[in-house]
Amino acid sequence: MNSAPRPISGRVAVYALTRAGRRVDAYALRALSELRRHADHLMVVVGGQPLEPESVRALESHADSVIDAHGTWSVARLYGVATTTVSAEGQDVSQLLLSTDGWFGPIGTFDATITRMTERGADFWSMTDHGGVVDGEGNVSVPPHYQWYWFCAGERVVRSAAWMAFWADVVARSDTDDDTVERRLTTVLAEVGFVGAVAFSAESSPTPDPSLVNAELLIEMGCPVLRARPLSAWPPYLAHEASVGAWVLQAAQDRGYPTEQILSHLARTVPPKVLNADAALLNVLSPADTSYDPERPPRVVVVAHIFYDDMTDELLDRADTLPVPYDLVVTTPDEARAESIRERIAARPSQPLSIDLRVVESNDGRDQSAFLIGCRDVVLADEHDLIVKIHSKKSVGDGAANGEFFKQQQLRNLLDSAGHTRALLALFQREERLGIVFPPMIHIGMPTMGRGWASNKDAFAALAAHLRIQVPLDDVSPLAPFGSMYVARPRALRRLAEEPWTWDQFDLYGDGGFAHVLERMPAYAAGEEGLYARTVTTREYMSVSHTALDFKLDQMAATTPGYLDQQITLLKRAGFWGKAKLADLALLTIRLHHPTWERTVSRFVGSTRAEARASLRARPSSGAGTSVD
Amino acid sequence: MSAAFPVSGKRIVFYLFHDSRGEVDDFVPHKLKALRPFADHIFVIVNGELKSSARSALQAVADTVWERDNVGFDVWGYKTALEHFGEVRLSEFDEVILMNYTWFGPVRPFEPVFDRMGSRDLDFWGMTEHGGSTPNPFTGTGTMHRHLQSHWIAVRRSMFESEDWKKYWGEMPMITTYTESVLNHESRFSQHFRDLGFTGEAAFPLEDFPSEHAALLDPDQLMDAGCPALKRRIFFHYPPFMDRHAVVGRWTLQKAEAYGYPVRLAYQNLARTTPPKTLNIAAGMLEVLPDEVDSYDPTMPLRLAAIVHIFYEDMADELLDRIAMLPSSYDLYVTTTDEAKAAVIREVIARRTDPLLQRSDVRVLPSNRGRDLSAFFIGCRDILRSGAYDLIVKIHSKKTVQQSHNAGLYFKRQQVENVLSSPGYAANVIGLFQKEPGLGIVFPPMIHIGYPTMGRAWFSNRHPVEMMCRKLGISVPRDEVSPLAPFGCMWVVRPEALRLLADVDWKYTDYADAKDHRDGSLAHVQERIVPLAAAEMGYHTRTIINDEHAAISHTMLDYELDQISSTTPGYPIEQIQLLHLAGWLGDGHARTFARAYMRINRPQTSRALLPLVRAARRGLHVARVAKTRILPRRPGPDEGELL
Repeated sequence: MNSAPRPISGRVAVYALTRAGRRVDAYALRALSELRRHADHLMVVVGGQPLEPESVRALESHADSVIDAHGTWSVARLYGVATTTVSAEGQDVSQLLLSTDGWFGPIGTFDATITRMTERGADFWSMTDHGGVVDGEGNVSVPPHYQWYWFCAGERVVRSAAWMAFWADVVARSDTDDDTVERRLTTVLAEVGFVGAVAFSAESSPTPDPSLVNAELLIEMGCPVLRARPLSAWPPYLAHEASVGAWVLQAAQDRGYPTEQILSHLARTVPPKVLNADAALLNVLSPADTSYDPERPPRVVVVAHIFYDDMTDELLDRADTLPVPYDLVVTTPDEARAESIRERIAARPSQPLSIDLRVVESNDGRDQSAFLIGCRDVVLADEHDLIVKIHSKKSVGDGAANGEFFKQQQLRNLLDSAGHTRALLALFQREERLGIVFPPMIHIGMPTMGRGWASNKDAFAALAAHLRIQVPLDDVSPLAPFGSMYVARPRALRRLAEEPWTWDQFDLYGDGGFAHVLERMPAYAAGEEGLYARTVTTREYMSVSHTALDFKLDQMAATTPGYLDQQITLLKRAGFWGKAKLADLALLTIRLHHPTWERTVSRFVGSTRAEARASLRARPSSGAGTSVD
Repeated sequence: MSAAFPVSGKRIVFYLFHDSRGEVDDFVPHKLKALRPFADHIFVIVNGELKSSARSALQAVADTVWERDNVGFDVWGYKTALEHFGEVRLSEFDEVILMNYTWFGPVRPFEPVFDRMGSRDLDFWGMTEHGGSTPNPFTGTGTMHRHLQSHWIAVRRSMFESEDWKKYWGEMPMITTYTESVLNHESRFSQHFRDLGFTGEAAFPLEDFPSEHAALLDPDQLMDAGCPALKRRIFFHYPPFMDRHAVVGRWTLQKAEAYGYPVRLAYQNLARTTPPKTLNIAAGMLEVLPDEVDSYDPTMPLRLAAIVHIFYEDMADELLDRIAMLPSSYDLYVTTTDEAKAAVIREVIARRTDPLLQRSDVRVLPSNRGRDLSAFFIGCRDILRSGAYDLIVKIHSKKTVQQSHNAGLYFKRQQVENVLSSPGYAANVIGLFQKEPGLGIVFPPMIHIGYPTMGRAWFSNRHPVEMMCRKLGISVPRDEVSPLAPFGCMWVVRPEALRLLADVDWKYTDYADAKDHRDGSLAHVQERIVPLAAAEMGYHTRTIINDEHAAISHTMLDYELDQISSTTPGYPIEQIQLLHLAGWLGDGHARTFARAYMRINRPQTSRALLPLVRAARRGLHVARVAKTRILPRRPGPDEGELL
């Protein structure tokens, strides 16, 4: 690292960036450092967005040359740029390694694999390949091909006319499709008579696509790279293949890889609910957990919005489960309530380190505005390691049992007992890149399943863009602290608190209004900072929630064939059922069998149904607001 | 006219009872014993026939046990019993209580309720009320008035000696369905007598509770308010309906236990009368156990045996490492398929120094037909029947070679790690049995990753299971969609809970040979019948899982349920009902949707409904307060059953 740039000569390694966004993550710098040991010249080609200056400097210190090709998202074109540069400027290039930034490594070291493959003496080699897919009717839907996220061309190949022509063609074309080019590369080289080899081949794996679904096995076999896909693919597909991301991460960690760097990067680049499922980022907290380190107590502030002052004691009883003395900030909308809260706190036997009771300007936006406007200074001050956000919740929904369950689902999963809360803080002690924890999405007594965005997705996307949050949005439901209680590092919330919100922005309360959009945003805001989210539960909640999910999913799955990924795909292709009237069901049929007719047909069916279809992805529930305060 | 209950007044309880088996579960005598101090005469009306042991059990706690033909539901039970008892004898009493068996109790003491209601000037009173609604959800027209619920209606002399009372019962039509029972009696009684000028009240009136049906939807508040009666229905009602109303049966039972009710009585009865998977969710019977010991009492060790079928002898150490996690001394029985393997396994055992291993016995089986299940039910028949053990742990060398690497590996870990995760976890598993004498068996939840079980885990075994239930005398109701079953066949069990299966002299030839070892074979049937066999004996099942597997499973269930729910409107109960009404979608052919249209919108003209839909509808017809569309009711499986 930081050594002087070396000329393009000998063993050249190319690292093509497309996933970085504006910032190069730690995992990429780690990969570059190790690649540089195995290369005489390390070249980084920067595609995607323009990088922040700090990241450019980091790249320059880790690589011998940096080519700025921002605006280009195609790996093929970036490889083309690199290859033509090497051809034009290189001297005595003996091998060229092309790689993307879509893998984590080295898991262990590169040495054994590179030595083994160099000794094989093939003309070119790749880390893994795809064995090809033949569909039910005998058609080849994916041809066998070498995967080019790690593709090493030897001297004969690099100097060949076929190689140069292939890349020149890629650069000249405007319609490069990465999948097509990747698959063609193997064919072209084989046609010319070059001999290839694969370090960890599909042939010796249980499936044709081991780098996706046998990642754990590959690591056990000594494969030094882990692709991002086993931790970012559609969860029902990974479940079908029984690829368990949590165990993939464990395998990497067991071999010394800092998996926090993986999660940190994926937090920025994968929809958070997908990551939550793929990596099983849920912790059942155990009161008997002993991993909390009392020698390193975090500085904690509890921010409680108390509208119902009669809940003051209940909330502070929960806060008192913290194993550390804490600062308390209370917001409430008027003086009368403030006075009552003050008295109630004074009457308590134990007192916080400090009490800051704030009467906020308005109750518009409830706990959201009270927090983001009324406590902006607390979030931005950087005086605390953790913020505990709770509030006096007397829900909504349509039944006292529903509201009571929701309140308990929030408070108890976060702050159930001294032991439970200790275990929660220990998570933050152990994992530096953990940004926020909250209970899983409520689904008992609330119609959230299938529509956790309610009608907030468009407004969310607009606001996220405004806040420069580029984390991809989940499709059906967001990963969000529904109920708005959580524990977070202030840095995870920085982007939300820095925005100069005004009270009048919160005057609309309900789905689509600011409060409900912001309620869904913390995990995405944290993700943008490279901080990931975990959901947390008690054992009791897990007993109740797991049995309920199991039963409901079993019932929902009873009328469609296949594995869940296939069942979901069929239902999604058919689309929204509406009220299951004749026209609704006609549309379902048309969408499945004649998708191109849909537009024409829906014109006949009328705008109501078209609207229903349009709101498919963000369907507010019948009557009851899914959103929650 | 109305009056308080006199200081030394006399009270008679007519307790209506029905049990499809003709047996009496322990919750009934417990309740009647507790009623004794408040009842001068306990008259048990039995709709149907009793077995003699059941009759004796009731006679020990009742003054009269009167068996009658199971006709006319509870209503005709009361009517005919009142006639049978006679007006003259009845006139000795100051209060008559018409009560039925549809509740557990007393979960809170009777005395304060009798004291409080006894001091009130009333003609009649009840325990709980149901709110009114227009239109009447049972008929679609008119009004259903608020009414006392029929599981506890007390009537004072001022009313039961009136002509109106005689007329009410004299004109009562024959009842042939549950709906008729509700329309002619339960929902009619209160308003009918109020209209005639009688005064009636509920001990726990509607106004004090948030819902219109507190007995079903606010059981915790009812208990806190002092209500002695806890409805059984909470724990077997259609789970998506309870889910819709956020009623958490697990916490309700915990509260009942905290108030001193012996909840084993509830579990025993529920196990015998509720489809196992329904009960599993209704009472939240999944235990997420920690790896640290938190619920094991080392001073009460149980007598343990491990039965380990080892087909792949290279897995012997791995399996014995798991068994060695048990918290107290145990005997080890290993079954295998040939002498060579047995020799290897014996060596492994001899080399190991498992401190708690008392004795080991490696058995070579004459056949591998039926694999681990024949090894268990035939090869270890003597152990199951011996009475020498309190608990038997069953694991086996699972490689699932016919499946893909990932699915097989995941399945193996899902089984082994959730039965014996660590020494602390294993102690906690044993601790569950220490705490609950009625707990029959524990095993991991249904596998759903890597296997297409969701929505169809009966596969083609439903009919063979029905046949075998008939043969073994198992009448526990079966789950409609997927059964609660130890898929993978690793478990910890009380041998007595398996008696119905262990007492059968199975033969190796009853099992399929290797090429036919698939759904429909005896092994697959036994896999699914185990919890039913335990439940028939009154033993309940719990599923168990460790923290890591809970995280993996819960995050995936959450994601997948969210995805699969994205195309249907409403709460899960409405989404499920819509899909079930639409029926099997297959590949989504146009025909399918035409049929779905007819089923959903023209139910009268469509063919007989799927069993699934019947289940969904059964769930809905007591959903009187739900905003859900109420569908016409179909009769349930047991016509005598009260809801």
